[in-house]
Amino acid sequence: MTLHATDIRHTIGRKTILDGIDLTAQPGAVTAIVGPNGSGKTTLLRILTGEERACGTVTLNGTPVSTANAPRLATMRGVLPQSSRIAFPFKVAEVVRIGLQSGPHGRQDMLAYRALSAVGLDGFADRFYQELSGGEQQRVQLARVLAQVWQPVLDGAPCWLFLDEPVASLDIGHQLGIMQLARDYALRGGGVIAVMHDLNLTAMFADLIAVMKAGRIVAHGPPETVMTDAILSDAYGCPLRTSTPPPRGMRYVLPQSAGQAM
Amino acid sequence: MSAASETHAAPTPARSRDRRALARQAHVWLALLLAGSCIASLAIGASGASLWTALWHMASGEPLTQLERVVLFDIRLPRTLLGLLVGAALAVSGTVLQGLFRNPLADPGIVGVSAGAGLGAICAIVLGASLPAAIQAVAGMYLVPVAAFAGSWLSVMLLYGVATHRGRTSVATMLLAGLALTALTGALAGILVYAADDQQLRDLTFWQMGSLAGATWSKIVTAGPLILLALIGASTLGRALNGLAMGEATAMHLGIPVQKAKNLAVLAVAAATGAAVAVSGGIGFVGIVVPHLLRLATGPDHGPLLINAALLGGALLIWADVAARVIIAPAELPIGIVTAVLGAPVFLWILLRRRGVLYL
Repeated sequence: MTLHATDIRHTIGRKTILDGIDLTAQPGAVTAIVGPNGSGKTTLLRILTGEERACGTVTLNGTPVSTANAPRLATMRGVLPQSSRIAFPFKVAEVVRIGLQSGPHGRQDMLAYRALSAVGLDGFADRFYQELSGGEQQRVQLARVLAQVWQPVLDGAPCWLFLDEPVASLDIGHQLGIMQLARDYALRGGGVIAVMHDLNLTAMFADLIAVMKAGRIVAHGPPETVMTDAILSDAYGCPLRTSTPPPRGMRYVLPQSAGQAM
Repeated sequence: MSAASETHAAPTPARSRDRRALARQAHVWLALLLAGSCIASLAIGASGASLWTALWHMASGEPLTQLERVVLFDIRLPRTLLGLLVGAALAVSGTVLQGLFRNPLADPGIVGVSAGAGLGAICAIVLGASLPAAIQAVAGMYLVPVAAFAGSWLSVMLLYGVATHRGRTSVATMLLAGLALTALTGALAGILVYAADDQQLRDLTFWQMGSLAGATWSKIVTAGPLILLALIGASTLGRALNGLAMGEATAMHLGIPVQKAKNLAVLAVAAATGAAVAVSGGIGFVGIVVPHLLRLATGPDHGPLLINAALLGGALLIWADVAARVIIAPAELPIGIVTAVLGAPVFLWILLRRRGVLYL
């Protein structure tokens, strides 16, 4: 009952986007994928969700993703894309309900409102999606994804959230709130795979981090082994320095201090 | 995440449920409207035959007069049914096309699908006579609608291929491609018209005027099955079109078999538009007015929308036909003029509301 990706290779034209990726993610943990722009994070996520085809195999809970039919996958995993535009004037509740009705809990209408409440959008149900700010739209989409796979564990099998930069357009309060939500989902037995930009948030909330560079995973492990000066400086191609303040033992990134260190 | 938002109002399920309930109630109201429209269409006309006297005769067991039988059963009833079928077909085509292209401006008439169907029909009318007799015998009266279906299918495929790239549709490309498609099919049709003989020219002229005036039972038999199949097919697309409104990737993540749904949508549009154009010529704007009004009133959820569009489309076209018959009675206006007068302003209104989207 895991996510298994084996030897994923992907090229567009003559350019190699992914060059032999192996990745395993367990339910009950938040797995973050980080790396510089163009390192293949989003492409990898697309392949993991079955949106894009590539060489290699991906299995989710033992089901091969590339051959599984879409309705079956939709009961196991929800996917939050980077940005979502909607063509028609749907209301917020209607958007969330589209997710709800795609998952196994389609009859439980109240879940749409609970999902909105979970992302801090109480009272937004009746607003028009297109009239919201970018950050609010992003949270509506997250509520839609949550409503689709509301139970982290369904009939003994874990459900999965695939999040592509879930907090990219949010303010710091909502960033923390949404990451906590993802963490809770994992704590209750679900699996979370998130492409992340913010290394500090990643260090705070990820159980496992895969660092990508030029289509490869250059480091994979818990924050304390992956978020080191050497690994991050190499991956991002700029001098970075990590540290832990004494009281909580948690890593953080300090570009400010890199100059003095080198 | 309670600190999240400034608004702490309790969830308001009641009001947003209203739109779903409203859409379902609209089924009933629109069905009643459609039934009323059918009765009005049977009762109103240039001839002196009265629906009510005929009904009275039938109820009291008296035989109908010759006039009543001809006017009611051979003229008004097929005309009403054809109006219903064509109106439903055009409105549902518009709804599905808009869902497929994620754009409320997609209308079979505007993006060239009707023109493609028209070219197919003209081909069948002009070239059909030169087909081997065996094929003519087999194809028979289905030749024109099937050719129109093929023409509209090719147009939708071409349009989709040109305007949509990696699951994203460009509004400008779609509209311009529709313009090009209409021009091209118009030119090809012009060449065929030159090649036509006198009888074919007469057929073409009447057909092109866009009218329900030539409604016969045989037209209903040829177009009816194709339209009904298309409507049934389209009615299963509600969830898929809702998903597609968020893009193809998200639709796939929501568990929608995207390619299958798109194929079905294209086939349904082609069949409905093709059959409608084959029997009634070019009747524009029904496909844009009906879904637009319904989305304003009951929301964009395609499940109820597709059913409501069929009902309102049928009723609208029946009323447009009644107007066409009555305004300059005993002569008739082409119904295409009536729908254009109603529909073109709505199209401009949508353009105005969406101006921001159209600046590219």
